[in-house]
Amino acid sequence: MALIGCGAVSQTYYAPALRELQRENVVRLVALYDVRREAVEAMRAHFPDASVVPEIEECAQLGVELAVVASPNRHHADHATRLLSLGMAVLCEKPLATSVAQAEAMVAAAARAGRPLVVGHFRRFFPAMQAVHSMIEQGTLGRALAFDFSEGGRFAWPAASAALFSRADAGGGVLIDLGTHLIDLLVWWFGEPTVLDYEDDALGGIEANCRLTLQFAGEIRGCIRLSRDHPLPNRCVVRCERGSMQWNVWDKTRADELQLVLAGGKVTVDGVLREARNMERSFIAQIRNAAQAARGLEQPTVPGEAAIATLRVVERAYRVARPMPMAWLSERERAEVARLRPPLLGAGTWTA
Amino acid sequence: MDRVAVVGAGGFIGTRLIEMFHLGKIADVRPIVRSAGGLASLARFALDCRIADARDREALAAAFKGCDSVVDLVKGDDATIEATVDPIYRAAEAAGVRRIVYLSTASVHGQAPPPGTDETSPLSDRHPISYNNAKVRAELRFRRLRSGGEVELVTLRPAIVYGPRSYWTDGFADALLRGDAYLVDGGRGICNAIYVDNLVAAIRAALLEPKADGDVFLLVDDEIVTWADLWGPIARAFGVEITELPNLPPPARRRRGGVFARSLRPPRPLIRVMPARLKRGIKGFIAGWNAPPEPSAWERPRKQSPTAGEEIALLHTCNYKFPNQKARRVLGAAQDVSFEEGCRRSIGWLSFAGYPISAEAPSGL
Repeated sequence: MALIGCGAVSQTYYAPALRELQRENVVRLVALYDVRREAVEAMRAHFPDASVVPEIEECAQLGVELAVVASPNRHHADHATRLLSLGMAVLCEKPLATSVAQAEAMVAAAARAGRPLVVGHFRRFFPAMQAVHSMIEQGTLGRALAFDFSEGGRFAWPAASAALFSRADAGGGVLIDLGTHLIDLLVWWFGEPTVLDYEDDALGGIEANCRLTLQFAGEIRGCIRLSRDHPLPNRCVVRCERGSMQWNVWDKTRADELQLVLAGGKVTVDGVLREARNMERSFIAQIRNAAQAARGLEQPTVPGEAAIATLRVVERAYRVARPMPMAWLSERERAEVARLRPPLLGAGTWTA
Repeated sequence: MDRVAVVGAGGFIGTRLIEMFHLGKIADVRPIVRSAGGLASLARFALDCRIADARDREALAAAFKGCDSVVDLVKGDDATIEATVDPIYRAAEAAGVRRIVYLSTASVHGQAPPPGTDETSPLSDRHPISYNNAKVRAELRFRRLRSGGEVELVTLRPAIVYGPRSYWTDGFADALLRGDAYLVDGGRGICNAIYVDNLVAAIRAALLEPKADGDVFLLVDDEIVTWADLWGPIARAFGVEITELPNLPPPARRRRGGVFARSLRPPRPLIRVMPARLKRGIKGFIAGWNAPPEPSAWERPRKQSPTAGEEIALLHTCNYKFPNQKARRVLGAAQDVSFEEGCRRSIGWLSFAGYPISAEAPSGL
């Protein structure tokens, strides 16, 4: 394996996961790449046997079968495409790309190379999310009607650089960063939605807060509220005809808890799923799936194609974005906001 | 337009200052934060943001280059408060900055100051709360540096700064949701409140007023308000009356003005002793609100000050309104936002931030 990009996600999540998978002889990390020397050295402390490559093409000479692309978002398309063209499978961090066009080109590159392109939407490996998927598919609580997702807190991710806060580097703010996780789950469960409404607080830069309203086939409608500015309720609810499924997003140490509230009764079932797996185990499961896909032994759980719909939602949302009402601003400031964010023609509803 | 560097721009005052200065075209602001993560809220604007540790003189000097003035909003533990003074002043000198506006605190006079306290009152670093002492020492160090240095210095001592993202606003709302909000002595003590926008207006004046160099200003709004006045509208926005909250008796005072720490710990869980209506309401809110998050990469555990109970007790029994005449006279900063409007905007913020504000609340949304 190769690790392309040795920043915060690599040091925080990939390093412990890869150490465990190396112990199990599932993978072996042989190459590290990052333009920042200190980042590479920090990762090399965990993997002293791995070679530091000055160009990603050199991964091929080291016999790399699977490359993890964890570079800043704007490099995902370029790095993944180059690696695929050299015959390597790619596990690309989310968002797959900063535009739908880039993502489509990546998927096409994977098809040409005949190698899998897998996307790091690792929440699909949470047992609780798999249980929601299964209950929706089987109609356990009847037809799904609505959802209400909120996720956010004061930003505390140990970002190694400012890349996450630049539109050019990141492709956007909290929506493309955190929101793609939640949109991916919804697209997995319900298919591709229509963007009914989107508002955020970007004023020349990128959004720290946003609210996205979506409608899926079958009149399933709901809202995603995100923040990297202040704590939110951090609760997700999917309402169905005969009850609802609820979970707390911040309980990341427990990815196996789900609450079922049955309508018309007083019964609430708080459960731990039989397949107990925390967030870290889910992350490991994702890499294991990508490694197996690289060897042709499994289908990728989240193939590149699956992430295109998510990016389409993000792109549509940004296209119709309007400013969130900010009640604490003075009249003069509101006038400036209106100047910075003039009303969009046709904003309000955007249909594919 | 002047270029103003803002050190510690990622905090709640810094966030609002950047917003006001930028949207109001007051100055060309350059936010400076300690780490990349501090840019999360500031990145909403297309600004020339810099990353520099406020203890690193060279990094600060590079960040200050081209700036006319510096606003020092550094927060942190006591050691950080004191350790950042010299680097900031020396870096400003090296970068040719004209003036530093240092945000101290009215707490240098204690949380319940004796009547008559004003800017001329002597400072002591023997308060029972260590934060006060650190701010006293930082002020004195800045003053010494100014006496031997070229960079002008204006020191501001705001009291209870409320508004969007403020601990005194969000923290009380959080306490209501957790069910452990309480008042001491019915919240009858004087709350030396200043709405964050009024503080930012005073900072602006302190940056510009030539006569302010070397001077110190206490900053509070004009209205005399109590803690019950400050928190009443927020409680009401949550559907409860402030009088329904648990009320702790005022602590016995020591001869020298301190308080005993005993009995300051709020009864837990308070929700059990709340009136039934409040209990139902709070329980309803809690059902829709997540429990405090587990420690994670996204959320640093919030530090709970071991003196929080003591601080609240002192504040709630304060019987003195700080004067603001000197700030009004020398800085010429008028109060733009009334107390009523400040409360309305604060509740508007809480609604924006996803708190379960009732429909009847005067959010102004």
